[in-house]
Amino acid sequence: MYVASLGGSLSSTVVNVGPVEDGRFVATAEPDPADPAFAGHYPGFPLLPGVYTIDFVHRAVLMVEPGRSLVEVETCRFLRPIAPGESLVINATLRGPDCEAEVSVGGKAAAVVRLRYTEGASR
Amino acid sequence: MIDLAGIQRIIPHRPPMLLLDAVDELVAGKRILARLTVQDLPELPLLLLVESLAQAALVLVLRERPHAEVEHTAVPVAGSVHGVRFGPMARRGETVIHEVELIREWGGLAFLRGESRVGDRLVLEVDRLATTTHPVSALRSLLAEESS
Repeated sequence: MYVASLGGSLSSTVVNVGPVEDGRFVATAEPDPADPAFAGHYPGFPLLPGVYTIDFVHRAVLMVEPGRSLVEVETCRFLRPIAPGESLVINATLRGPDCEAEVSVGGKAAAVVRLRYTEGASR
Repeated sequence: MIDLAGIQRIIPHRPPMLLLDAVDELVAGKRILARLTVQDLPELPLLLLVESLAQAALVLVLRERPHAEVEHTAVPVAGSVHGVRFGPMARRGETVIHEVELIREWGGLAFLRGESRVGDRLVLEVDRLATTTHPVSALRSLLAEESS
């Protein structure tokens, strides 16, 4: 397997998180079109792997609350594919151990994600 | 039973996003056992573990209708996942065995469930994974339309 070239955090994409208000925040992620993942997913037709979308939401949550550890992806529905060069906007709400997030691209819904965490030490 | 070259004749994933080493057992239309040995990293990131299981699911679904090349054909696209629970992480040198079962195929979607173990240790459970394939031409049109 070749995971090393993807890096331990799945990719080098920078996730930016805005101010948190009452558990709500907006985050953005701009996957680098040169990210090695695109070369293998898929050759000739690069698409962002679905797990990357989930990972960006997860990383945004960790930036807001660094101590959390992911227990469950309760649900994730993918609504449209994401191509290299597209930017993701994550509208997230933290409530207790849960995070609900809508991910959009160019104003169109791309995924709906619900994650569940423990509030203990990070993995 | 199916080696890395054989896997690449069934699914279009390629390094570094090819996260299976071999298939040990496959009962067409029913179940698959596939494995990945963690190398290069101290721990396998949780969401790459999920991707690896999903690739085992795709080998099961696409065995009889391979999608090895994406140009002019169709690519697998994730529909949804539910109940993805994580156990202790898989570490360097450990071999993860995915066991995935096809629940049903309906309306162009395949529904599967699965679990992954390192020895006796459960590292991942997936209650439901829905996957489909989309023609590349249709996806190109969708992406062009929405970005214009």
